[in-house]
Amino acid sequence: MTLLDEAAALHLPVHEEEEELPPGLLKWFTSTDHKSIGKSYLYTSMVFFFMAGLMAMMIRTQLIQPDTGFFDQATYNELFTMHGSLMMYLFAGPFAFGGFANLIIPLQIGAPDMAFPRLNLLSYWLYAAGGVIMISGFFVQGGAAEFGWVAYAPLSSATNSPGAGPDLWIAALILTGFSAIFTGVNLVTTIFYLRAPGMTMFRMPIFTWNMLVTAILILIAFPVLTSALVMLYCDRHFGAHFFTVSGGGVPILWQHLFWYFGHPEVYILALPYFGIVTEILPVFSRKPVFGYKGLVFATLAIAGLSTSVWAHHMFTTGVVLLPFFSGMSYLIAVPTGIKFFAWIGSMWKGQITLETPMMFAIGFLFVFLLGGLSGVLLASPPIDFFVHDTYYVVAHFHEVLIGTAVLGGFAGYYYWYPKFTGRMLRSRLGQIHCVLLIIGFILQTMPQYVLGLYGMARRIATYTPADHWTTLNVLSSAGAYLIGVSFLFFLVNQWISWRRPIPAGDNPWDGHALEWATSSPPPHHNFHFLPPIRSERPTWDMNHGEPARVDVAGPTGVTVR
Amino acid sequence: MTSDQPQPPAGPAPTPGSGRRARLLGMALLALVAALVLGGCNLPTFGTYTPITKQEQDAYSLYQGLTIAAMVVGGIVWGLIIWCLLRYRRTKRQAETGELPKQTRYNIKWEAVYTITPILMVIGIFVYTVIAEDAADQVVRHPNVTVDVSAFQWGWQFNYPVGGGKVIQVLPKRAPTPSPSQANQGEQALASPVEYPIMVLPVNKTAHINLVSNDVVHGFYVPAFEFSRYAQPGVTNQFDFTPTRTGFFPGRCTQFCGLYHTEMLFWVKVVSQSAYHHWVASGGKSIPTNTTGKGLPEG
Amino acid sequence: MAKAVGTSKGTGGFRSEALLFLGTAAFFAIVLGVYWFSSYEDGGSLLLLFTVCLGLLPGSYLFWWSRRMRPRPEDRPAATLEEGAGTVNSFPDRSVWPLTVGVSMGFVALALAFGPWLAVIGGVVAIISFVGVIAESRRGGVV
Repeated sequence: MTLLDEAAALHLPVHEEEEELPPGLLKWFTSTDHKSIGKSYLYTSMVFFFMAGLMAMMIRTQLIQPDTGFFDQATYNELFTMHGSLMMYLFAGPFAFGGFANLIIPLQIGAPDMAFPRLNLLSYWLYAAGGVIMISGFFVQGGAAEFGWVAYAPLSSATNSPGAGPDLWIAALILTGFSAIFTGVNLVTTIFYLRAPGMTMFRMPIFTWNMLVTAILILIAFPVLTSALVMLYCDRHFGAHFFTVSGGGVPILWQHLFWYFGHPEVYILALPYFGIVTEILPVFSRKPVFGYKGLVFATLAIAGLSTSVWAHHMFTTGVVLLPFFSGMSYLIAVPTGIKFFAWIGSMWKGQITLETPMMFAIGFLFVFLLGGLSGVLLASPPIDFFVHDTYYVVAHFHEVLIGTAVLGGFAGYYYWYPKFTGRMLRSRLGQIHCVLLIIGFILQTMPQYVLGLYGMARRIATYTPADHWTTLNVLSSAGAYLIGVSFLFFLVNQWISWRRPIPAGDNPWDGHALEWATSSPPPHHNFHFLPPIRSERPTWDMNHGEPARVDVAGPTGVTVR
Repeated sequence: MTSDQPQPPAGPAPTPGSGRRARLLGMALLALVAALVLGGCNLPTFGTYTPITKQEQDAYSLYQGLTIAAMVVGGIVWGLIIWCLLRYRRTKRQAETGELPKQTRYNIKWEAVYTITPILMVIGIFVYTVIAEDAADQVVRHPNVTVDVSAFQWGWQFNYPVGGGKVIQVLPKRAPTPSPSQANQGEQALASPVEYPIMVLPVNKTAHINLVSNDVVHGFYVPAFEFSRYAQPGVTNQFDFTPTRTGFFPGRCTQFCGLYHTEMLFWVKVVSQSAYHHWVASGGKSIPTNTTGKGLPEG
Repeated sequence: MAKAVGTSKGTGGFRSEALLFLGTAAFFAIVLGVYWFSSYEDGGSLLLLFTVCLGLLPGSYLFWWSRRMRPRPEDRPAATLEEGAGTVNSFPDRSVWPLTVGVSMGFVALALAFGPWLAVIGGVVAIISFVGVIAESRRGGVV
């Protein structure tokens, strides 16, 4: 721990021009600082999250009883399409690879900013424009798109889905697709070129590793979606016949293209949150992360396999190779299991304290495990035949996605909020938020598994009393409302933190990674000094006087005390 | 078949001193597997229907076995997490003295265990999956009955080629087919009730289904048969049903197919073989096509 | 790749990074082989082929450099912070052009639904913005 001030002077960037920033909104709109862009992403995606959450509650209100007639079928179809689209395209992804990645990654690798700050800001504006365009579908004649977030051809053709709504949906996704691709390029470049001295690849925090892998997945997946959307648009307006039988096209091609994007997308949504949880669990157990390299290779394995299993969404099409996709899907259970046991290993014999981020992270472990295990069942084609496109699947992917994006995401939010604002959130309110969220969430999804097994199909607007689904649907809706209530506590918490701030200090959690070595909020270009980087947790080493050893982890269980 | 399910992994305990605990855990698991073996066929259904067709029996056993395996694995992992939360909380003394736990970073032995065990499990599951999948997709060469099913927005048509160039057609009585523009004006909350078509099948005979779609992707789904398959434009999907008991079962479209997806229902009526012949002889008229009956099969 | 940690002292920089992308290409090449010869399905195989190329392109570039360059401070576990001295890069503090590019691209996208006249408006603003952003980055810094 010598040097620090000189090193800071040495590692500082050159400012392009020393000019006063304009005040107010214009500053917010034009600042290319990664922290400012990250916050924009975080709060914009949260707005979309709340919109989509309200839609979810409307959907659950429609289904709380048979034949409620709360919405007509067309409105209901718009609602679930937009709920899915907002959650998948505008919340879960950008919340992580726009929000957290932008905020945290330059801090974690000791960089002054992202590699391409202006491209970064462009990503945000493309995303914002795409989001506004997608929402605007509700206000055009004919309403928003009504074909589910997957837009299966030929339902999404001009004859079956006429009007401006579907076109706006396509336009929005092309924009957000480019936004994601730019972010992916930016992340890879930042991580490859802007690491601080000594921060080798295998010393990067797991969150940074996971974001790197996510960025590569983005580069694999999103171009496929964007080109598929262009093909779809050509089908709709220029008389192309990519996806229509009548012109010699192949409708199943849409499903191949979509899921070649769609399945990596699921892991684009999941891996960042795995990373967040991997940051949080060791910090609140006061131990290093267990099995660091195992986790890195598990992440790589998940990413690779996730791009090789796209057709497990198409088991019941009858035209895909079942054993290949089934076997590859099962294999994903192996790296996921490695991750789970590494998380448990990180807590094992630690000193656990249950602060809010830790509670969310534990909630993630519980809920994601449920979703993961039902996922193993769904990876078996004959069992998929039981429940394909029923509420069993709905329950499965909500457990996976809420487990990661909501529980993992808000774990990260509570964890890093002190860092990017310099204020604490009230822990009691946060804990109530967490407990209500988990209870509401389990109450919402567990009955849906049974409903699916009883034959309740996805995306149906109503059912009859003779179906005997009422009780379970009441429970499920009650869970959804409880989730809504839990977020009131979150908003109150935000309000209190805004009105009566408690200063956080630089390192409130005794964190491990570099972001906790700088001030809260970090200064312009992030660091006035850097601690020496001699392991994957330099800040901890600095604070606990760990040896400035060169990190050689032997194969025989290195223990450092 | 369920008796020799792949065994769930032993939980990790990334410390050397936990050998005894691991042995105890192993014995508990052994006891559980033994209980399953002895329990034999009386496994719970775990919320699903006992499938009525022969083709899905293996898949049903696989479902039971996998659900048990999932519950065991889930229980172990949840148990380990809860154990950590109960046992390894920071004590007041630790907080005051600033004493830190042992900073364990790797334990190759346990990492190998929790890598290899899931791989073995997955291989086991995969083998059973392939067996069950072959049974579910098996198509016999000479079926007793052939039904051509075509899906359209929003209904089903069942055609029975009964020989001699004759075809019995079963159609919904009044299909709700308003144009999309009408629908977008929100004129109609729910389509008025229609008489949904009934697919009549003889019990203990193999029926061969040819499934096509006239417009968009639909999903042909009979919960009681535990079977679903897409109806796609340009593709003819083929599969067999051999129902093993009579009854009146609901079916529906599962793949979202547009405005009245919710209304795209049908029924499957499995009847005795003589009743079926009678129905065919009458040209498809002898069975009343009302839909008032309660359609859910028991357990 | 695990080896790279211990041995990167002797080799060039970017080793792990290059192997990451080359590993991507190798993995998908294997998957492509298995998938093509077991299904002969062309859509998915083509997508897998493109994914192989995606790994190969940056991977081989980085690998080529890795053979020819000395390890950077961030490639060496024992590097001290002083070794990273000097200008990291020059970063812009603010720029108005991403906003105008983003909004004009929004107009271009709206043209997909409401007609080409929107694309004309958006296109003109976009061209001005592109000129602006390029001029700005020529004055200093990277885009």
